[in-house]
Amino acid sequence: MTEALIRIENLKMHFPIYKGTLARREVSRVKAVDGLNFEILKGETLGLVGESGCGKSTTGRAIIQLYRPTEGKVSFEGRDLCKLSPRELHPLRRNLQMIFQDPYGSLNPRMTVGDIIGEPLRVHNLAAGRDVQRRVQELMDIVGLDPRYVRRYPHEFSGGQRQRIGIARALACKPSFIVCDEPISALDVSIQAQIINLMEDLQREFNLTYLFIAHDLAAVRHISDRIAVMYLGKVAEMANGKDIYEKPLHPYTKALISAVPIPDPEIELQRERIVLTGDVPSPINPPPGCVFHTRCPFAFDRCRRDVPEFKEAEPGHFVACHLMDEPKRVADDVPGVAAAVG
Amino acid sequence: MANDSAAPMVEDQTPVLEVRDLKTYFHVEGSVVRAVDGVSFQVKRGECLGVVGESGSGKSVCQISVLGLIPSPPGKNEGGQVIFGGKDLLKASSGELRKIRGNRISMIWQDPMSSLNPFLRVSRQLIEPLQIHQNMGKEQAREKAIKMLEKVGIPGPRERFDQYPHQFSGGMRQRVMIAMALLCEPELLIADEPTTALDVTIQAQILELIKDLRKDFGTSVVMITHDLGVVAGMADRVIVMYAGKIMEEANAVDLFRRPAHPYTVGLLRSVPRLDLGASGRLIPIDGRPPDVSKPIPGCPFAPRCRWAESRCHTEFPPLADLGPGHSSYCWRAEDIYKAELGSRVTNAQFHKAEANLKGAEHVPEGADAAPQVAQACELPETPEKPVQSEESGVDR
Repeated sequence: MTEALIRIENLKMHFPIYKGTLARREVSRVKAVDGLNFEILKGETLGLVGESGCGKSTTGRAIIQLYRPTEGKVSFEGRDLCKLSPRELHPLRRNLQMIFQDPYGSLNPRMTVGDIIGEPLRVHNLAAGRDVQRRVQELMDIVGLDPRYVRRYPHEFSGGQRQRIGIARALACKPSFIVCDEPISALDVSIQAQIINLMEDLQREFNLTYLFIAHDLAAVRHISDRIAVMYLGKVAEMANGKDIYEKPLHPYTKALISAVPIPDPEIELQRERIVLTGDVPSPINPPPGCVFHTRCPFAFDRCRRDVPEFKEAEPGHFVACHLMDEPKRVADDVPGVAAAVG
Repeated sequence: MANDSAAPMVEDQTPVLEVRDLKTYFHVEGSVVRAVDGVSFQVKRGECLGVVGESGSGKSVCQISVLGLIPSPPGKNEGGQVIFGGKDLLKASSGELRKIRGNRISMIWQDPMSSLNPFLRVSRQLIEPLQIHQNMGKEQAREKAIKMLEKVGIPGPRERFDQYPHQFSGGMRQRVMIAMALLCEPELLIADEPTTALDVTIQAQILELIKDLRKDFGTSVVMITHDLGVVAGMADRVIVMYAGKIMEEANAVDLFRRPAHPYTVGLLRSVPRLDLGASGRLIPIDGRPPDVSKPIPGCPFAPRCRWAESRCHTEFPPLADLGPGHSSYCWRAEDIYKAELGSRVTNAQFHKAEANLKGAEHVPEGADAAPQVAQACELPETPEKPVQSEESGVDR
């Protein structure tokens, strides 16, 4: 087994909500991320899926300290990033990069492509003068952009090309870890595949570790070695891609998988859907016990009371669900669900 | 059953909507954007027609033109016919169109947030179409609207009826939109990416709902989407659009099993499938969609096509008939159809078939230019340069 590059322990990211102008006081908190424990292994792609508002992007940002977490530990190279001062963090940041969702909003429209890609090099004093330019052109070549366009501005490029600029920028200081926050969801189908392939190639070539955040389970399964499924600030289940799809244990994972349409009408015709009722509850006031119990078809008393522990149900397969202790309930209560998923 | 023109039930045969050679152009800054360029299709009674394409393929504009909702200027219908209920909607007066829209043809938009009026209670917005189109009294309309909300699965419809749109979640708002669209029991429902803004579990709820309602009301549905998965689950028949033109039309099973257009093949190969998992690399479509503001002499897909021949670049292909209901606009449609490059084909099989297809003389441009990491992708001579500067540079 490979060693962990990043270890996350009890990571919490709460955003306070204030009221009042003069006597500003905290009235409540959005518990965007509420107690995560997992490892990201060297050289792997860890996929993070979940619906909007489940805290997956916040997790990514909290890990690379774009947000300073409320609580918890993020260990990287033997140091807890959460405890470091901004100054101590600065030299480490070149190892921790990010690719953003919106290829339009994440590039400064007033900077040329060359400036955008070269900026990290200057910030981290990795190159100066001519070397910056040389490296920028090299990077553009790597991500499949014509180096002749170095003086152009972001608006002169298409969405897919802009995403390549963002990728080149993330690669500039030879990071070991990249958080990819929905890097393909703003792109057209035919362009998505180009970017996915590019990311796979780069990973192999530069030995990168990815945290791949997306709501598209099919894309996540394609690119990831392991997948963590998030729901309302917590990881519901985590395992390798095959197990998540073939042997999902958490009822939410099962519902999520059954909800993803498969581009094959004959398969679609035979599939049974577990259609969840209702919406995701508010993270300001998450339900007590298991956060999923309000929508879970199998919920019983204990789910409403106790928070399920995130533990290893099978080797390498983690899940937070009380049903693991009472396997009979799944089979008895709602027949046919297991079959529908498989 | 609000209309009488649909009276003789020639089941399944009479199309609800027939579009012939529709052309919608936008005149922008001296150039003509051919958003929809000679599109013909039919929607049969009770069927669900899927319209697939990427952004800018004209799939939405095409359907919006059907309803006469193209902003004009800059948009303009440059030709064609849209036959609905025996009338050409393109020639209909705005008064006539108003009687049809929201009554006999309804639309569900992509973004439920911006298509409901935030200042008006949901009740007011729901009652309005009934009062206008069906001359209902307020009380009667109210009752009917509440029933419809219940039907689309909004819990506590009576209590929520007088709330404002912002008090509903995204999925619930989309349900309100659907309720609104179905109030007058339309013959045709046009759904423009109805689930794109929603989460997958909510998407599943809404798609199930549309399926159920189709059964209950017998409404024909046009489902516009870029998601092949959604099409696979919903559509009976599919048209694939690219650069304002129809590339292929087939029933859903045929399209996914034996596509007959390189673009369809390309789309199928470039989406990851959840059930197949990490089954090898995706095979993307190189390059990117053409600029439709410049005339394209041949097939608009030719520059990105793996199997393009020289004539593909100069002449738009004629319709190739590949059996009942299956047609493709491709010079090599037969070959591709025979190669069976459906969604279940593995990469190995694909490459084998591809080698055969390429044959000796068909070497698409740039086929040999696929070096190291990622080149080859998306590298046209110019990025989207603002038209003027690039053009003038060339001219000089």
